Amino acid sequence: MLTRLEQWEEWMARCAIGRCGAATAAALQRFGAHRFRHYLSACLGARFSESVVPDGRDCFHLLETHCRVGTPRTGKRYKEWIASRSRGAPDAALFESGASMLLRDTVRVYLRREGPVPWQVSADAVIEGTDGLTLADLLPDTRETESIDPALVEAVARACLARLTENHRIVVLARRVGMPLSHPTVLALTGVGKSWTARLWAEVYERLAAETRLQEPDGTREGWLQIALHASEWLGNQLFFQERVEKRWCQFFKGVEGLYE
Amino acid sequence: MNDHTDRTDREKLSLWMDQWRLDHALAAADGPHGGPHCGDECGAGLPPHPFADGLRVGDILLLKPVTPLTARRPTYVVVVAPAGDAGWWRVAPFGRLSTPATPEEVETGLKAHPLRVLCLWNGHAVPARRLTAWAWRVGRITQAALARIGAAGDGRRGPRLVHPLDPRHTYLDEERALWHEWDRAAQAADAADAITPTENGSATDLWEHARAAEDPKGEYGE
Repeated sequence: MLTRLEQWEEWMARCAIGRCGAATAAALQRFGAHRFRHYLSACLGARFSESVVPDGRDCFHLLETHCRVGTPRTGKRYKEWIASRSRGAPDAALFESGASMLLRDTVRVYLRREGPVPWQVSADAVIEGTDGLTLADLLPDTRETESIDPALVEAVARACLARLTENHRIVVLARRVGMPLSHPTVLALTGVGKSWTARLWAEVYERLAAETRLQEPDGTREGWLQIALHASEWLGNQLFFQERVEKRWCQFFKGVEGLYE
Repeated sequence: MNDHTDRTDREKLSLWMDQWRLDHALAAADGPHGGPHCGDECGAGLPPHPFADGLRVGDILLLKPVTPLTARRPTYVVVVAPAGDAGWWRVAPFGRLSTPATPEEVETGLKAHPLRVLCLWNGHAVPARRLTAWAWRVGRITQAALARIGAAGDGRRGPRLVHPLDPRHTYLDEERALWHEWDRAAQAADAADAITPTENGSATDLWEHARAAEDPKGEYGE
């Protein structure tokens, strides 16, 4: 632990690190500098250098500036938020963990402003964390939409629909009505964990993409993408209207706007 | 939609993706033990603390850490309008990132970092008594400013969401948990109140009594 509870209590009482006694200010500055450096290093990896790190005395003050909302009197409620995060009496660990969470946000904003990380991603670069998707995939050229054959879209979607399991249909319906795939309703209905519902959703799209290439073998990547996207939308609407009629899962999806009215 | 709009949307999405990536990298830096949080037990026991002059449209509130999500990060909301039943209000949260994710998220133009983006899509109806018990008021924006935010053009809104596997779906799912967890905690607290009436002066509310005087003034954000 880099700090003591009484130092945080002094900070709470005096409202700002600049008004704290020398020992408290030094301890909070050390804490702020340590965490700030840790987070910068985590974000930048091999590109980290000491030149990016602000003066150690400024890190904690950057947190105060970043978090301040409203008037001088009410704008520091975030401190009460930190202190209230545990049902028991606050301790130094509670304050350090809460302040660390806030420092993460502070560092993220700081990096956007000062860091060497390039934020522009080219349209064809694969986006980290996706299965090979690019910006161009996520936001395809809208001019391609005019040439999409609705009959082909429906044919692709129907071919996939015929082979979907019940769990696939449930996650498609959940997406269609804006229900998170981690929602207890979805997990209860499918009987799987949230990582699996996400996997089921990905499978639906992968099948649509594969069916698209099967039915349109001479197409282009951009054309296939548009057809698959429209087929995905068709599929969601189809299952929505089916459920409206069949009411198979009304016990679970009751309350969803427009579904059973 | 045209080529310029497509290019602008991609720039916005690129910016958002970078923030999303950084957000994950920062969370991973602390490992699975990012710090203690209340969990579901925090909701019960917080005494109601009526605001001096009641709730109004434009009030900016900081939700108390009564659920896992609200304990992971400070969550600010704005009171948007009265909701259907008397004593209910519709509130919308401010975003956790500084860039709008979708067209239903708007750059507010407000100076405070936590209030840069308003998530209009994630509005929720909440009873006043629950808001006053589980939130601190931190400021207010005028109804005119709120209306301007709601009427903002495409330039201040996020990029369109088209692809089923867009990572923004994960972000939206995570944010939807806000009100799901809140409603569950409220139901649990209501049930507990029905059995054992909540008393004022709970030992855990150290700061609640120290900060008992609400300051109703302080409009800003124009």
